[in-house]
Amino acid sequence: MKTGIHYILKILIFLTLTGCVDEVTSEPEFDPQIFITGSLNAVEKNATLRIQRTIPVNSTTPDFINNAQITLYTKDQQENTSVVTKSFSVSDGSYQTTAVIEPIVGNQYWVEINIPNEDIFRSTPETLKKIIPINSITIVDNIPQVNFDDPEEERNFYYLSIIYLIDFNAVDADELVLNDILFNGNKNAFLKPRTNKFFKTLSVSLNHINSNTYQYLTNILTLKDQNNIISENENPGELFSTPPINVTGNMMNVTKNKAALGNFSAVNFDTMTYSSSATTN
Amino acid sequence: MRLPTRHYYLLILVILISLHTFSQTKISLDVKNTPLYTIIKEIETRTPYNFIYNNDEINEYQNYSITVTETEITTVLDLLFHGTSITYNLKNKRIILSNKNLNLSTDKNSIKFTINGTLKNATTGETLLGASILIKNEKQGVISNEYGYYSITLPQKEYTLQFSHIGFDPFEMQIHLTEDQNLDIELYPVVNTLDEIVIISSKNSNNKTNSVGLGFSNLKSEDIKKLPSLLGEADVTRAFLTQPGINSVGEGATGFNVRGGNIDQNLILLDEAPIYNSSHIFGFFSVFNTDAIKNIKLYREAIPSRYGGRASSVVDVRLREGSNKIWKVEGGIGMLFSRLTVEGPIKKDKISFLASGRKSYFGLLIPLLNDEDFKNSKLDFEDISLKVNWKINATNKIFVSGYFGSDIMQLNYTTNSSNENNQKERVDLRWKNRTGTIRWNHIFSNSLFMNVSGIYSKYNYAFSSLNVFGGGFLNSLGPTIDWRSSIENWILKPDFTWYRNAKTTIRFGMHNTFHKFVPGIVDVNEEGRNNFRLNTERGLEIAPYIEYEKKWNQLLVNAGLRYSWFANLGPNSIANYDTNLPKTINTITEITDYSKGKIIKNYSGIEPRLSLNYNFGKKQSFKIGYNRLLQYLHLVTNSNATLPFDIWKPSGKHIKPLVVNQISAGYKTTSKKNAFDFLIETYYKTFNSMLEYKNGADLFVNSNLETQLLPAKGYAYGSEFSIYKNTGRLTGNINYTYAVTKRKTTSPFNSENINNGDYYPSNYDRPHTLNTTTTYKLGKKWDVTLFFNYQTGRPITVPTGKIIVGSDPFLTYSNRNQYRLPDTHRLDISFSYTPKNKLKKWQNSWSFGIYNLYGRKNAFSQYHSFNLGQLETYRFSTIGIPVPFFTYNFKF
Repeated sequence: MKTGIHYILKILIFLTLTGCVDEVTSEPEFDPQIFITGSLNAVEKNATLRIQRTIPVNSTTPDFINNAQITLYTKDQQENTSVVTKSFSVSDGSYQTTAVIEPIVGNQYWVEINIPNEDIFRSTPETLKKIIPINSITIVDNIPQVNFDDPEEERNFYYLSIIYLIDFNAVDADELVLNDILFNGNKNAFLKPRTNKFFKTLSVSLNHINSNTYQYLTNILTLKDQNNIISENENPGELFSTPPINVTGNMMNVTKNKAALGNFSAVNFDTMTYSSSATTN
Repeated sequence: MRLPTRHYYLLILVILISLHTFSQTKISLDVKNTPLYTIIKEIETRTPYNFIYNNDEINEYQNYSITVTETEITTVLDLLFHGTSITYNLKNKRIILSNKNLNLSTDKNSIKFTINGTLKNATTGETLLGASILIKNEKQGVISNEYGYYSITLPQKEYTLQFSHIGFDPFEMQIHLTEDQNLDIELYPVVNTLDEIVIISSKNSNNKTNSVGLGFSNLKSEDIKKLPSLLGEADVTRAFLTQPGINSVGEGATGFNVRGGNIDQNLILLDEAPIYNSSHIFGFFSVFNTDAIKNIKLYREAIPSRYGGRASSVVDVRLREGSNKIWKVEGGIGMLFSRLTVEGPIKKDKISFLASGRKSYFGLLIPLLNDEDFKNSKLDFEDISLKVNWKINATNKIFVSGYFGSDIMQLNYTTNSSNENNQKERVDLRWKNRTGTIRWNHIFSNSLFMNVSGIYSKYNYAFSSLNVFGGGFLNSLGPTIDWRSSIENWILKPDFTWYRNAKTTIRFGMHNTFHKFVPGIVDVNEEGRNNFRLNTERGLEIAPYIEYEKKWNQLLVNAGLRYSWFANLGPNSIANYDTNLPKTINTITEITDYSKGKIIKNYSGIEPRLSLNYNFGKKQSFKIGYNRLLQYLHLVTNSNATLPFDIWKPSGKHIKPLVVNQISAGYKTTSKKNAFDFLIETYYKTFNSMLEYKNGADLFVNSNLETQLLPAKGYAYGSEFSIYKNTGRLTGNINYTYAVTKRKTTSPFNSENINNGDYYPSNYDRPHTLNTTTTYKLGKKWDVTLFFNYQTGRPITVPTGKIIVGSDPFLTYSNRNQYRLPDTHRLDISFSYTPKNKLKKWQNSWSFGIYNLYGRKNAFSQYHSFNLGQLETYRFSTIGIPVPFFTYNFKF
């Protein structure tokens, strides 16, 4: 997606007739790392994680880790710490709690992952936020707008997922991560994607997340945008690019006392489905 | 009769000029034991002659005797003063008496007098700053200050004074110093044709006005104009980049880096007013109009204590005052800019003015895009510099100057969406620099000079966007926004210079600044969005300073001390964080409200400065220096090149002041015939309390910026080698710099440290830099200049792996700045053609050439994308082709 700044720079470079982009061959060294991502899902009452090693940039075969030992912890508002579960099923690097868990709003949750013969990882505790209900979905200029009441008392962070469906088949999707700095406490707060897409039905979830997860998801979406860069004759936005972002969040390699790739979030969310004839929660 | 001091010099001059016109007259006298004043009165009564003398020198009550009949006046005077210490000079019926014994007195050294005055350009009347006043055969001298003023105190004696300034014919005069003297001297330019190259003559290449110096660079408009330039616009920033120790992230980046410092560590002053964004068009062109500039001095080390507030360098730009003798108009027409300067006397020799402006016409070329998307778009910049100079009387002067620069980009375009339902968007982005300076020069006495400056500067930017479908300028903000931000300064700066004697100068004063930061006022005219105002911040900075400069024969010492105190002031609301956890929104423990004027947090520090310069004869000098500087303002940006809407933030509760210490040493030698200067300099710098940024820092519209920042420290070291050729048809310089600059984040929470808290190269760590600038005079009308630059590629961060989440691949990256782009190099050429129109007032010249002559594609950055699961790597070059340019200059 091009932004206004892109267009400004495009015109500038055009006027100076000077910029150019060349494709080059690149064979960077491969530096294997562990990547852990997951979440505590308060609505579905489970926790899921994905654990894999990074692979060379031109490889297409994921390197899943299936022997990790995971412990899910919680701390209640009286500062009492307890183990929620250590029981996870695993398949192709995806782990899921085997029993139903009962997440409690206000409690903190984190995981500790021990990968045998490797390192121990731990996520920073995240507080399970309350659900922010979706009030309605309206369509403005063919763009879905998700309406809700933003709580006033604190800075809130949101992750909005919209799946566009035609005949019950997902045809497109949008993800949006935003804080409430421009609508804090607004009873008519809304989130909406930037552009319109074809759809007949929408499946929407509004996730109330923590600041670390907000940062992590922002990083993820930035990387996703970068994946979609198409080679052009010029890319003047590169003039103002920031250092490449790593997919770090709240995960720590406690063995080596350093940041690790990945994140474990505690999320609460509301969902709503929208079709041209009806809207359902 | 007592001769007024300030007329003494003029009288001597008149005497010398008119000696040949003297006609003898005869007189008869017969007096015995008569006071001298009676005899003088008698002679004045009976002849057309008048006597002039200083009764501090001549004892007019002493008795004399003389008897002459119809004798020539010269014989009378010879007889009268025979055997006495009195000597005389005749001029235009005036007889000037002096006492030669004063020169021979054994206690002559205890009687001292002061010579002071102002050095000016004889053609325009503009003052000459940095000119040299040398006492020949005495190894003494002074330099004129920023206002052309000088003062030197010496024992009474006869002296030969040499006044010189680069680009001007030196002037020598002898004086008989028996009292305080005011000498306003005018120097004539060596050449006075339009845009012609001034070749440093062998006469003055070893004096202190030479632009070649240890730790600093003096840049003149003439020198900047002869450098090849992008699109023909002489550019101050690009001229800096030809100097040793200065580099940048890459072509097109805003600003410059001095010896490992970030770009916000450069104090850029335009007539003492700070400039916060020194470029037009996102960094492609400097805000400084070279037509309006008198002088630029850039300090890289041993920064005098009168400067402060930035930690790595000072760029002191002085505007011309305008001719107070004749009216002048000059200008130029370039490919994409034009400029015009008008100057002249409002009241001759009393009040002068200068108005100089530039305007771009990029906008005229937009139709060439032949794209409906950009119809009705604007893209232009303009600036104007104004100055009025009023010489009230011999001891008071007023200068009023201002700069107003603005950029505007207004685009109406269409974005594509997946369903081909194109969306109309509008972006309006503009930014402005404004400064105003009023200065009062006052001479309290021959040896005490004062300047008081009142300064206002403001940098503000605004953008608005309209997307009728939503999304907005920066995607997540909203459909329609108006954003405004600014930084303002009010400065009061009294500054005193006491020329204690010929060897000692003491300068002292106080720098007082009130800062106001408005980081963002956002209006979103839409239901469901709130108008938003990021908290305004205020800062008060007070810094008394003193400089002491002393010469001991070959040794020149400049020692300074500056004490700076800074307070971040209320009203404001500041978040407090759980000190056991990294700063995030979720670790805020409470918000503290501060009332108006309440000190939220204050810092202070002593900033010693020292420079020792030892001259080995006339040709060699060795210098060592040390400086410590504190910086209380920070530019918050983590992009490769800064944007006009990056935020300035003051030190406060969560941001400490940056502290930089630098030690440096240098050696300079000049060849026998002054044809060459050779310089070697080396330095080591440390940086404490720098700002760095968390991985993926979100700096835009963030009311808790401290949650995105990391404390850091760093160091830089390097050596600079320079050769200058000053004479002959071929002139120029070669500069080679070896430099290293590294930093590390120092968060107590290692989870947020960059590179696990290890040192890594800064974005502009480019160890090897070679610059050569060569000018060859092809004849009386033609010059050719070549500029070549070679640099190590800048550090980058590259992918070292990949993860796959769902069907989406995501790159994982190396340690920050672990790899490098390829080395860069570039050759520019420019020609200057100046037809000689000796009989016509209208003068003109052409300059033209090619920037990036062989079309080198110097990579600015490297980025990646996936295409069918395969990584593709691209390198972006800002200027990847030869860019021709031309400019037509005129003057009348």
